[in-house]
Amino acid sequence: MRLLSTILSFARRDLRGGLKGFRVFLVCVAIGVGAVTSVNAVSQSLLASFAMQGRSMLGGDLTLARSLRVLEPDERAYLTSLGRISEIAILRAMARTHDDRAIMVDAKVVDDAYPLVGQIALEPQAPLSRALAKDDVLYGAVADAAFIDRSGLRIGDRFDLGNAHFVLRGEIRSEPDRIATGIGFGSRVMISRAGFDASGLGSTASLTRWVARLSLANPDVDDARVKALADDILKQFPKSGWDARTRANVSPQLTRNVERFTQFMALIGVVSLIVGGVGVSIAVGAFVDRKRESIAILKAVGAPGGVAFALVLVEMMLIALAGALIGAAVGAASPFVAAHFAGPALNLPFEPIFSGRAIVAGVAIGLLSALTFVVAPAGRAHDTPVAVLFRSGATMEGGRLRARYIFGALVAFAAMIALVYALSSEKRIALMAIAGVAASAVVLRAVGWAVAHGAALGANVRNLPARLALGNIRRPGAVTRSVVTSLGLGLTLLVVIVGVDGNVRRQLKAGDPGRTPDYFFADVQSAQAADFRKMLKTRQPDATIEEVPMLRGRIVRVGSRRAEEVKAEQNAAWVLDGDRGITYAAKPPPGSKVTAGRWWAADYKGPPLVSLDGDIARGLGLTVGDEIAVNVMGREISAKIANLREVDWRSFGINFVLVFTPATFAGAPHTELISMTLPPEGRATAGSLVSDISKAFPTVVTLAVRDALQQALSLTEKLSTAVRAASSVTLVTALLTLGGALAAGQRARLYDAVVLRMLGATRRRLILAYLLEFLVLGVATSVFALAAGSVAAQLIVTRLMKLDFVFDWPGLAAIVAIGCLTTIGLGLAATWRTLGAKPARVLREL
Amino acid sequence: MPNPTLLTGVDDRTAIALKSIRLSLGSGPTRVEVLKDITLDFRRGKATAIVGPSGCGKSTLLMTLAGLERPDAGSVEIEGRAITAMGEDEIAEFRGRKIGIVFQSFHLMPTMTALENVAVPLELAGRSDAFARAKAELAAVGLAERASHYPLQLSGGEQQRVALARALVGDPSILLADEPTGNLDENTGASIIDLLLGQRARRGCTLVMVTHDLSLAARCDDIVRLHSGTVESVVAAREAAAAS
Ligand SMILES: Nc1ncnc2c1ncn2[C@@H]1O[C@H](COP(=O)(O)OP(=O)(O)OP(=O)(O)O)[C@@H](O)[C@H]1O
Ligand SMILES: [Mg+2]
Repeated sequence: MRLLSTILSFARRDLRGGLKGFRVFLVCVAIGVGAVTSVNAVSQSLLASFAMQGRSMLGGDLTLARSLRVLEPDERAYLTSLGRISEIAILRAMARTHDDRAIMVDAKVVDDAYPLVGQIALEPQAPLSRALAKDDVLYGAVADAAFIDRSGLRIGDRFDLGNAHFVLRGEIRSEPDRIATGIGFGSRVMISRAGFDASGLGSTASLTRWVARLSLANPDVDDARVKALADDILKQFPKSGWDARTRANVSPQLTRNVERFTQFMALIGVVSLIVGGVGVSIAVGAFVDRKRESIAILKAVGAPGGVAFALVLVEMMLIALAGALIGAAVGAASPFVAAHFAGPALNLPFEPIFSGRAIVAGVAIGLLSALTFVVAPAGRAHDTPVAVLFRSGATMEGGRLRARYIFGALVAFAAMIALVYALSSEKRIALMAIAGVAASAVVLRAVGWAVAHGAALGANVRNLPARLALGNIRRPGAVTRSVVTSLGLGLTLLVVIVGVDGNVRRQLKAGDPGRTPDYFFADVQSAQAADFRKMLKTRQPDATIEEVPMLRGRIVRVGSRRAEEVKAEQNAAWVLDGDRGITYAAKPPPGSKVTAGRWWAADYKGPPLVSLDGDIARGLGLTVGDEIAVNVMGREISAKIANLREVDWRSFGINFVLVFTPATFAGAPHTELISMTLPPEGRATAGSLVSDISKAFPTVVTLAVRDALQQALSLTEKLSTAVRAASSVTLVTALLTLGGALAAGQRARLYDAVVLRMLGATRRRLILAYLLEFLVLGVATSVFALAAGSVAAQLIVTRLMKLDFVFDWPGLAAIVAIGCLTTIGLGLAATWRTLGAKPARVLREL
Repeated sequence: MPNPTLLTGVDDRTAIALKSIRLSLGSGPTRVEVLKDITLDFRRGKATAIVGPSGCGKSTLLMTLAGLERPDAGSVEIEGRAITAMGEDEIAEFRGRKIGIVFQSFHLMPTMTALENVAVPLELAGRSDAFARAKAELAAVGLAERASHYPLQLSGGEQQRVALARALVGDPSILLADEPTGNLDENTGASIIDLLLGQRARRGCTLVMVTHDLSLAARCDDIVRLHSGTVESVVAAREAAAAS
């Protein structure tokens, strides 16, 4: 106890002199902790907002959805006994304007009770029921800005849906339950039940999904009770085929996406902590070096080495704590800043909260990472020889670091990794990222070592600037290795991000020319299919047309467990979320390869079999021979997994996760999904074909792939802006570290410069030597970053995303050039002062 | 009695001429006038010792001679050329060619071997035989065996020999030394001094040496005595010896 208070009072005395020499240390920790905390705090705010506004986002306390079937009288009676109910429908349909344009819309059919919770805001302001009401001839409709923009319609203009005529009465300004009722690639049009009935879409379209919403008489019950109630309702109506959802679980997909993105960004923050850690270790090393006389005096009067270490450790961790608290403060404030600046653009409920969890996590990760980088250099204090007091000028080089300090650093690092791992939602990705960073750091350390030793080999070159440069790189205590590590990690991350981002965008922009279909036509009735195909063939004789049967079904059982009980991996969880398209086929679908098990015989008539996408099977923990059950229009069908496929998603062609044997659905009503791939010359006339199709086949839904890709692209661009911002934080840290390293080496450089000038060197020569030194470091670092970053990006793109990888040489070359130039620029800027120093003064002092 | 030629005008027997040198160091309240109106000539090919109490400005004067310190007023002429009128880089090059310097604390480059340290001035001058010459010079100070050692692997005396070889390798016409034995024990110091004076005598270059050691000063030709920034006396060493 006495010892601790002695150490603390020593530390206080030492730090009283200010934080000179620790600015980079402090800022590195603050930036890293700030990044990790901000990301987590913003995401916590977002998730908390979802939870708080779950009722209005869901449009009730619980919802029951199924395809095609409206509420039966007994179901309605039962639900009404529990609270207020509203029944709505959602479906895809084609809206036609009077200038013959066809636009795919996500239509929402609402009853008078809608919305049970929350408010729909219209412009011009009007009650929703009035806006949707029928006048003499026309049904009312309201639509979102996207529809108004795409259709070019104005308020008061007419358009058709199915067989009915509508007039646009207003623009939807706010639709709280938008997420729960999913917007895919279309835009929102809201109509009344009467308008829907008149359109005739309900009788033909298979994709109408009816959602019964229940608002409890007493909504103050807790979420668990609501969940229990939902389970109870499903038990009461075992044949209902309902997919139940509660206000606590509005959009599992959205929540998952927020979590995934958060984790990804937080990992970047962790990388920046590791990069900054290098700056921390440099600062600590310099501190131990500066303090070696005080430490020696301490030891001379009887303090053991362990106390010297503890003293340094405590002081450094106090500084780390200060940095972490600064970072945490910034992080805690960030949701409020984000709400102010980005909130409106987010289109999601976003109420900033003060997230204690994010702060604790950020500070803990920050302190552990600081500890990792403090322990080893602080351990040098242990063996500071008392003799430095008597041998002035003797540098404290060499001497092995005691094993316990190396071990200590490793334990701290392991603890940090364990914490990051424990906090991440997608363990596999987190593990891969951490392994990648650790491997890069180790290899970079080796590169630094190789550069230093290579410099030693070349150090006897008979060229003065080269010798000076190499001498500086190799100099004992030089920060070469650290710089290579930190800047190398920063640049590697940048190469990875640019590489992945560039490839994703390229493929979203162009698809896979010649293989990516131009249009999908969904909901083609089996009876219409022949006519429909004929129309496509006559109008586009050179187009490639593919057709597969399609049904809607929901996975209800996975192996022996109910779907709700399955803990799926993140990449597969979406499959269990609700209705999915499913198909059957006699032969393996084009573009996929059977990787396990065998495909069934073309004339197979036995019990149902299914072929499953390999990645999804892994994510659900399934393999060949397991059973899976789907609910198709109220009927539960279980099938044995006959084989797994690797699906090539790159073409964005028709692909289903589940492909059954044809006999499974013999006689069941289904629709056809048709894709059309146009030759380049066919594209010009495709627009009029789409409009004619919407007239001839009003219930067929047309999806223009290019529009869909465009939407995905614009989302990707938004996300990649965020990712780039996060990774630039890492780069800033790397540059700060470089600056700190240069500052730490300044004394030695100043000395060299002055001695050389004393011997007759001009400033030009000194600059040349510095230039060479930083060029060697910059090139070594950038080349490594290029190599490692490209490999990592390629693995991510081809293995994780299953896309093609193309090297973006100009972009990558630019990164390398920027890396080199920055190193040189910063290096020269930092050494510039040594050129202007007064030699007499320095020679006198040293 | 002052030697008249030491105080009067420049002739071809003068190596270094200082005229009305004034120099202040520091800034604000700590600013002190270190050299106060110093006019002084150093004889060509002779050894001059600068002596005086600690803090009187000896080192500062030597730095000024070397062009490492720029006086606030007055001029420094070395072999007829006014270095006070030159730019920084011009002075550096001039110094590289004409002046060799030895310091109390050696000032070797820690990242270079003994041989490389000695070669630096020749390399800076663009001489292709830099290493051959450096080797010869190291041999002349008795360190041929230590050519590939780094400064930290050498004793103080050895380091000072390397520094001496480095100062002499370019055949400077002027050699400056600031207490070259200050960091060495008596015996080592004596051998360095023997080497220094022997080499000077052999090459016939001008030596200006700051020292506290009066017996060492007595081995020089002239003795300049400074007192708080002014020249107190300039005497021929023989007269000083006779006087004491
Ligand atoms: N940067 C500075 N600012 C203010 N005063 C300075 C500075 N550098 C030196 N001085 C002062 O200038 C005076 C002369 O210093 P100098 O080093 O030339 O003395 P010296 O005669 O060589 O002494 P010593 O025998 O102790 O080496 C001293 O009083 C010193 O305090
Ligand atoms: Mg002195």
